Amino acid sequence: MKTKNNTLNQRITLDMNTQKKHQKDLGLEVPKDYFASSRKVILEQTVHQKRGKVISFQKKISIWSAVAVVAILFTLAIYNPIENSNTLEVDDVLIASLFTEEDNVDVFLDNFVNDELLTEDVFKND
Amino acid sequence: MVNEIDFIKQLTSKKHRDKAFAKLLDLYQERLYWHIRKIVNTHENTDDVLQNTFIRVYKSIDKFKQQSSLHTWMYKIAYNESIRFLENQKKKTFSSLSGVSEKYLENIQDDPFFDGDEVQLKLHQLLSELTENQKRAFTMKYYDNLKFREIADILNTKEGTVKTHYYGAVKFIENNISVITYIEKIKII
Repeated sequence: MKTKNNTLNQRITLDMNTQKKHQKDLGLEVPKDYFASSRKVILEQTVHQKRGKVISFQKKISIWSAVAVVAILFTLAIYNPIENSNTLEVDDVLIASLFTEEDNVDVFLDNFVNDELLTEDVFKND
Repeated sequence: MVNEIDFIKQLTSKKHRDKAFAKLLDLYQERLYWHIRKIVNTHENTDDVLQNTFIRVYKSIDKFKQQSSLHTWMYKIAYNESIRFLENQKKKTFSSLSGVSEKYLENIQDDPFFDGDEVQLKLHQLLSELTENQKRAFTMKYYDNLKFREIADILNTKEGTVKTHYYGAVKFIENNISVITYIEKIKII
């Protein structure tokens, strides 16, 4: 594939000549500032749409509910009172873990939502 | 100066994708506009197809297998989107693909973005009298500056076939155009 080694910038001059040729030979015109406005519209429909995608409130609730369940299960798994020969009561461990690990859980939640739940598939389903 | 291989890597990388896509848009927006315009004729139609083309490119860039150059791939998507558009038009108007072009030619002077004189009108008419294959080969080679190999790739045909269509088109235009000086001016030969 020889063209792979070509520099893309070489084609810009060719581009300008192509436009002149169409206007001169075929009488084809474009509206003033069309390409600038078209560029904006295309970027809005591609790059910016992805960034600015709004997740519905219903979906947010579902996602955060799922995250909360996973987080609680994760916390319970770490502080399993049966495996840990701890003398504390089960409820004490659960309550303590929920409060003392709050910062870590927040970080975990953020990472989990970003990495596992807010995938491209979620956006596609909108 | 960006090498195409590196550019493709940027386009398929999550981190650099959006910036690279904007660059791709800058590089190909105008030339694909003209490529599409000669197929779907009016500016309004071209605008629709151009947008669809870049949306498809954005969604499909991860599927680009690099079996052809990025340049050819972009033109191929634009060409396929244009044909898809014409097929839809055909269904709406109950006419053939060439019928859609003929209808445009009848109303070309009503097009606010056609500013041609008699000679330019004559060239449009001659182009419309070519077979679809001849017209595609001629316009892609002469106006889009594509190589025979690239045109063959876009049209899913053999390079030799494209050359036959192209030279057939040149011969037809040479034999039919009444303004000989115009032929010299555009240097078809």
